[in-house]
Amino acid sequence: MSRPRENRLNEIFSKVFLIELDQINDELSRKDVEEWDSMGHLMLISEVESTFGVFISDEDMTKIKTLGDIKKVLRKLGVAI
Amino acid sequence: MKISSSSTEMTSKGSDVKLKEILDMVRIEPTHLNYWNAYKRIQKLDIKVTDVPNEKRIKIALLSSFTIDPLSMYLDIKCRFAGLYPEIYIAPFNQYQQEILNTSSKLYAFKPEVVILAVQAESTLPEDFFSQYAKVPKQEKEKYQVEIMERFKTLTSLLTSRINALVLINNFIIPSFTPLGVLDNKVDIGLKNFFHLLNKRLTGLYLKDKQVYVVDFDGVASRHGKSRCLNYEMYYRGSFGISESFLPAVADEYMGYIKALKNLTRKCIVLDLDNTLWGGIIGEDGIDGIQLGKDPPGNAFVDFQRLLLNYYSRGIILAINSKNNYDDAIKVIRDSPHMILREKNFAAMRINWQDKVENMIELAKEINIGLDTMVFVDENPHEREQVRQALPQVLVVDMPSSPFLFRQVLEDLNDFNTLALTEEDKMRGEMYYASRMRSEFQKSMVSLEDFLMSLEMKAVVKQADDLSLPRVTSLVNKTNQFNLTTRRYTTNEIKKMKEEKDKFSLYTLQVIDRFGDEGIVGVAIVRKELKTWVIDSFLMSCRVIGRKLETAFVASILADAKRSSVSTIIGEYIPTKKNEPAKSFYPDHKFSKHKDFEWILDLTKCTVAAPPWVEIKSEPA
Repeated sequence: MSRPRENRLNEIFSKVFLIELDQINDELSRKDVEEWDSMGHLMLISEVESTFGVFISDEDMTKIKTLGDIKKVLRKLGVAI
Repeated sequence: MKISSSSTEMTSKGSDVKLKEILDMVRIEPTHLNYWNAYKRIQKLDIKVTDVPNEKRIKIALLSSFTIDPLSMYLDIKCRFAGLYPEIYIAPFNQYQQEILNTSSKLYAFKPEVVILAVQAESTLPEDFFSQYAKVPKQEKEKYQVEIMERFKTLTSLLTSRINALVLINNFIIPSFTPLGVLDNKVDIGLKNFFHLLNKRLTGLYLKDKQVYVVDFDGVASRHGKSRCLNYEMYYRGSFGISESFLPAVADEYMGYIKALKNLTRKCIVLDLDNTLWGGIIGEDGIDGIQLGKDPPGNAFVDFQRLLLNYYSRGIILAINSKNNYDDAIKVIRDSPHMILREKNFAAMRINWQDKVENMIELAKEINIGLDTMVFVDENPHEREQVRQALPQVLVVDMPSSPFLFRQVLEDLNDFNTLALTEEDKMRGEMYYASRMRSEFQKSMVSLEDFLMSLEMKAVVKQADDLSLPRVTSLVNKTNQFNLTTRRYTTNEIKKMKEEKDKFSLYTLQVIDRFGDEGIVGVAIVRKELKTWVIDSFLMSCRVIGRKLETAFVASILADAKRSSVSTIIGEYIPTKKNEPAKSFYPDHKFSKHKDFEWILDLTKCTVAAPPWVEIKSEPA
C-alpha cells in the first residue's frame, strides 16, 4: 500500500468525475457517479495509464466498474497501491 | 444514491467569482486533467450569456471526421482566458458533410460565428488507397486530388452561402511514414508529395476568399512534433484525432483567428532598452561597451530587433519605455552601426526616470490606443510585475533570462493577427512617425489654424471599391472613439451594401498632407431613400481627430446628396462608453434634434462647408 500513489489515483478520480476527495471510497461505482459515462471512462483510463506508466487492456478496461477495480488492475500490472 | 458534482459549486458564491477560481487553477497548472475538470465545472456553473454583449460572445461549431470533443474543452477555456463567453457546438461524429448539406441541421440552427472544419485525408479517400499507394498510377492520384478539392469547394460554397461565419479549414498533416521510404521523392507523386500537393491546392482554392481561411494544421503539427500528435491508444479506442499534448497547440492556433475576429488583437509592442534591445546598460557600459553586433550575445539582440522590424513592417506599432538618460539612449538608437531599429520605427518614446506604469499610460494616450492593445517587453522581472499588477489589460510577456531565447518567445505570441492585411497596415509605422513629426511641428506654430493651414491637407472622398473593402471592414469593426453609431458589420454585409448601389453609399475618406499619405481614415455608410438620406455609420480613425476632417467629410457627402436632389439628411448618435469625442458632431454641423439619438438637417435651407485648410477631391457616386 502506498499513500502517494493512492492520493494520486484519488485526485484523478476526483477531477475526472467532479467528486470531493472526502467522498471517495473503493466502492464508488459507475452506477453511483453521474459523470462516469463512456467519455469519462476513457478519460479515467487514459489518465491512469499515463500517470502510472501502464497499459490497460481492453478486457480489463471493460471490467472496471468501481474505484476498487482500478486498484486491482493496477496491482495486477505491478503497481504497488 | 447518485453522486453528482461537488456541492460547494452550488452555493451562493457568484458564478463569476467561481469562474475566476476555476480559470486560475488551469492557468497555474495547465494539465489535461485540469482542463477536463475545469471545463466540466464551468458547464455546471450555468453562466447566463444573455446579458453579455455580442462582442464578448462567441459561437464556435466543430465539424470533423474524428472525435473532436476534447478540443472544445481547450477552446472553451482559452476563449474565457481571453475574456470571451463561448458556446460550442460539436457536430455528430464524422457527419460534417450531412451537417453542411442539410439546411435544417443543428449546425445552422446553432448560428455559429466560427466553423472549424477538421477533416483527415483518409476519410475522403477509398479505404485501400494508402495501403496500395506504391501501385496507384499518377493519373489516379491526380484524379483523387481534384475530387477532394471539388468536395471542399462544394461544401464551403454551400456553407458560406448559408451563413456568414468565418470558416477555418485544416490543411492535411503530411505523414512522416511513406511505404516508398527513401524513394518517396523519386516517383511521380510520392506519398508525402501527395499531401504537399493537396495542401498547395487547398491554399490556392481559398487564396482570395474573404470568409474561408486555411489553417496550417501541418505546420502546427510539425512545431509540436508529428510523432506526438496522435495518442494511438485513444485513437483506436475512440477515434480521438488529436493527442492530449497536441490539443493546447491546436486550440492556440484557432485562437489566433478567434481573437482577430473578436477584435482582441494586440497592436503595439512597448520595449525596454537595456538588456532588452541590446545587452548591457548604456548608462554604465557606454556605447562601445554594450552588446550589439556580430558576436554573441550581441548577435541575438540584432536578430531580436530584426524580428521586431518584421512585426513593424506588417503594421505592429513599436514604442519605447525605458529608465535611462535620454541623451545616452538616443545616441545608441541614432549612431550605433548595429542598431536595426531606428528613431523612425518608434511611434512614441518614453526614455526617462519616471515610473514605467506612468510611462505606459502616457504612451497609450500619445499613440491613442487602448492599454488592452499593448504588449510590454522588458527583461527585468520587477518592472514586468509592476506593470502586470497596475495594468492588467497590458499583455506582459514573460521574457526568459537568456537573450538567446528572446526572439523565439516573441515569435510564439499569437496575438497580433488580423483577418486581412491592408496597405494601411504596411504603412502604419511610417504614419505614426509622421504623426510624431506633425505634433512637433505643431509646437512651433502660433495658432492651431496656422498649423492646420500649413499641413496642406487633401481629403479624397470616394465610394468604397474592392481594393478599399478590407480597410473599410477593419475601420467599421475597430473604431470606437470617433464613431457615431458603432455599428459593426461583417465583410459580407459590407460587400452586400456596396453592391446595392441604389440603396446604400459607402464613402471612404483618404487624407494626404505634407508629411505623407495617411491612407483611408474615415468611412460613412449612407442608407438612401428617395428624398432622404440616413447616415447609418460615420466614423474616423482616432489618428486624425482634431483637424476638422469630419467637417470636410460630411460636407462632401452633403454636396453629393444635393446633387442627387435629396432634401433631408438624418443622422444618429448612439452613445457608448468610448465615443464621447463624437458627441457634438451633429449639433456642431447645424443638425437639429429630431428625436432620441436622431438628428436632422434640411438640405434645402442649409448646408455645410469644408474648412479652408482642407482641399476636397471627391468622386461623386
